[in-house]
Amino acid sequence: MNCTDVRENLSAYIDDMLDRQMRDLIDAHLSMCKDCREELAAMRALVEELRNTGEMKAPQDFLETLHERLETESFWSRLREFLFVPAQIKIPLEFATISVIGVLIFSLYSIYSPQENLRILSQDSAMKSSVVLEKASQPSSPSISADEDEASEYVQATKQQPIELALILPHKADIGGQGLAEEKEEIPPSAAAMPAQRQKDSEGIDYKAHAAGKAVPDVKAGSSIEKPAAQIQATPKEEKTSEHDLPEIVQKLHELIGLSGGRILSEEPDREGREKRIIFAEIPAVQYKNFIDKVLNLAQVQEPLPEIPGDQEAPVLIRIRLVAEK
Amino acid sequence: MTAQQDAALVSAYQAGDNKAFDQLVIRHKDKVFTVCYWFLGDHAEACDSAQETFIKAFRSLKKFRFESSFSTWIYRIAVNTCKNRLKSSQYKKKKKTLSLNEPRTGSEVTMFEEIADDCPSPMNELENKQRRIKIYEAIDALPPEQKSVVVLRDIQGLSYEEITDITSFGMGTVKSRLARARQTLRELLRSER
Repeated sequence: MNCTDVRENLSAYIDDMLDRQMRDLIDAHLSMCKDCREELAAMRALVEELRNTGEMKAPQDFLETLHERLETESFWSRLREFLFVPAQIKIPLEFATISVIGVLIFSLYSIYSPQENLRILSQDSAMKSSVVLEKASQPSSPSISADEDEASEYVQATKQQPIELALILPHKADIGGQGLAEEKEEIPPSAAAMPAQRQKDSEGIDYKAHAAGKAVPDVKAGSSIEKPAAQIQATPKEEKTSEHDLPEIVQKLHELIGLSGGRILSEEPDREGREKRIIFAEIPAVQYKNFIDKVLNLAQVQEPLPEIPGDQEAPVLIRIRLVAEK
Repeated sequence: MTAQQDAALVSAYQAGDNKAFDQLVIRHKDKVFTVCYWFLGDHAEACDSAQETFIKAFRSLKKFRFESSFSTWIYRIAVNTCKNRLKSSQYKKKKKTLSLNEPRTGSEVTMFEEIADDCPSPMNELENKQRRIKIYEAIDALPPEQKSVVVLRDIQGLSYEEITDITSFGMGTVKSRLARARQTLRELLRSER
């Protein structure tokens, strides 16, 4: 065994941590090597010196300071343990809970968001009412408001003069509306002499329709019929007879108003005796022209209708008077 | 101070006697403080590490299973706490400001003064203090792995088996690291004479 090998094992030799065989070899070498013996002595002195450094004293208030720290840490450590221990279970669970709560809050906010109400309100800035309905989505069922007093109040509120539309209810009028039912025209007196096709409606009233080149209905004696200026020629599919078929006209007007996306503000029976009925309605400006065209298909108007400005956005107020033909 | 007494105190604490923990602290605080001091080389750091060691022990003591002695267990916590602190950036920054070549003053010298000294002569006393400062600086210069085995073996007097339990090093590793540490210390201290 050489000096290098011996010196590598001197530390374990000092602590008696070598096996018997190795110890004997080192003993044999030390007996012959002065340098290694000196090295061994120096190392033993060092170890002895290190052992004699003694134990140090902790500060006298060590225990008190420890208690203070334990009291402070216990709250936070309990909280930390409650929230995060075991981490593999609690952290994913907490994350999932937070995600679910976030989705719920977002859904509730989307449903009850005030933006929906603001969008509705912003569609009609001229109206006094705080409720604006989207009638375009309900064309066939126009709402009917209260009486004419309220309609007047409405006019005052909107500061808009209604367009007066007087529809003449002809005697034995051929009631029709474009796209709603058959289109009919009034019968000239001379048509009575012509061969006619006659049908009876469900009420038993003879009603005769005539169109150029087609069957001519019979005309009751005493009735006077004028061919209106604005009438649509149509092929009747069903014939009815009525002196003043007011309910049907009113019904068709209702339908036209609904189809146009408007609403009926009021409806009153005639008060003066001469007029049959007054319908006060509101039509979206963009549908006004279309509505008038359809009304003109339905009946004659007394006076020419005024135009509305092309850029008008506010709904058009129309007072429809159903006037009996004189 | 025996391992059986420690075991009895641990059992008492687990049964609900909080004062048993205080007794354990009193019995082992100096040892833990000494290990921390030799590891970290700073009084305040050693105190903080020792406190942290006992706080960790307090948190885990209810689950102590007596697979090792309480002494071995608390040493293990102390060594690991000191190693973590050595790695911390805050400690490294603090260490940079200290120079090993500067003479030690203040609390470090005070600590060495408290150690029992058998030499009555003032001259010897001064020499001993200076010698101890040099020993401290030499140990402080060792790598952490060698420092831990030297402190546990030569300063604390623990057995090789206890050191393997505390550090989780194998027996051969403990032997080789201790041999290298002692050799390095001998060279450093020989040059200081």
